[in-house]
Amino acid sequence: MDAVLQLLVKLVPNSVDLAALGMLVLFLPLFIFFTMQAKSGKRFALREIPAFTRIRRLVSQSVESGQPIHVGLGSGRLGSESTAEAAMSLTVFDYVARHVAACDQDILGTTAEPTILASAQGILCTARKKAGFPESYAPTDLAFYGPEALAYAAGAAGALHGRPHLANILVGRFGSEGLWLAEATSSRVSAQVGGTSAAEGAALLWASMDEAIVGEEVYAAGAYLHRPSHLGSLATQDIMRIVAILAILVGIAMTSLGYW
Amino acid sequence: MRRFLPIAVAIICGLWVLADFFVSHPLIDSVGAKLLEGVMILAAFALFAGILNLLGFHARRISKDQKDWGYRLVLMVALGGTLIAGIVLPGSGALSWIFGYMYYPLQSTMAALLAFFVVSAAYRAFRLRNGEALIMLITSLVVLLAQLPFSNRISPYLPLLRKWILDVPVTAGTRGIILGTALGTITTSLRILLAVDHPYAQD
Repeated sequence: MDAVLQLLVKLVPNSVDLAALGMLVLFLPLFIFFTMQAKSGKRFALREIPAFTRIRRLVSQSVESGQPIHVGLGSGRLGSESTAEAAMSLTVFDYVARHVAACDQDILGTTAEPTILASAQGILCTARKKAGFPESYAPTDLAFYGPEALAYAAGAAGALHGRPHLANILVGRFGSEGLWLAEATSSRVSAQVGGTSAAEGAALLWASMDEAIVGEEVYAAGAYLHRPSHLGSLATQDIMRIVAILAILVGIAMTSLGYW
Repeated sequence: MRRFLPIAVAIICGLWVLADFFVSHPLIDSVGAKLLEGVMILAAFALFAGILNLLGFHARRISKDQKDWGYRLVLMVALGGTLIAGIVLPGSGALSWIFGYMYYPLQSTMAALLAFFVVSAAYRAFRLRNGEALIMLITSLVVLLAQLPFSNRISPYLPLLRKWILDVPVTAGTRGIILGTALGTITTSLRILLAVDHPYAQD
């Protein structure tokens, strides 16, 4: 036992990593359990998030009217701290792309990050192929406007200039450029939906969007739109949130009573 | 195989980098560092692909003779000019001139427009549609008023109220968002690591 402990102390560099390891050990079994339940078809109760309902309606409307939707994927980058947010922007793009591709409709995607551009092109190409219209795929349906946030906003606003678009869906990592883009294009689209998990950007987008997605709601996009397997991770997230709240309450009580 | 291979590679690389975060071992550390270096190289290639996409996107629209073709041409010329200045004259003043006299002023102009956009967004957001908008309106008015130099003449409690709003509800809300975001990031990462979700692989 001592030998195992000594090996652990030698292998694990410091206490911060131990705390992270503890979190992972707590997360992993719950995540696997709930994901398996979700995959086996168990339904979980979901509160309504109006933004996701609106996205579904807008996609249907776009298919009926033939007016394209613009999906802004933001400046989240694969391989950075915004990777998870970037993945969620791709999930939303995937949902919109699959539905508009099924009716051979146009879509416009814009991003400030080239790693996301390549992934989004792959998603659109697959969606077109699966829908039976591979010839409709054009790599330029997705536009990259440089890694500078405001340059991206200006470029994306310009891309919306030529043709009327039904809606702006902005999901991913956005800062002030999200507000810039939303306000500059508000008169050219019928609806604006979106959000980001970054606190400053979320406040700006909340003010500008018709329906806003705030903070962690961004990570629920898959579960609400078209990926039932994401419901398991959403349930795990909720349980861990309760654990965090309890930990905070215990911390407050212990500090107040002088035990900590 | 086409679908399985990228998923398998992603899982192995992801778990390896995760192990590198938790465990200190020469082999794990060196391979982990190489993998992260690989991400940087891939990102550089992606940037090259992004530039090609940018050129293709605008060239296609110029060839279609769309009404704003002139702006697109300016963009392409500016891109080419900056690229050439950076490659041919890397240490010269040409690049700093481009940035100092063209890029930064343009960026400042765009940033200045944000002030007007904030006002127009605030106008829409603060319309009294519901209780949330009312709270936002009152809070914003208090914070804005308290920032005035003579705010304590209006009421001595105004600066204190502003401080309380920023220290308590705003900080609590921000921490709530950060905590939720952290949980969301962990579950999203686990989904990708365990191949529940694979946005990088074509179905």
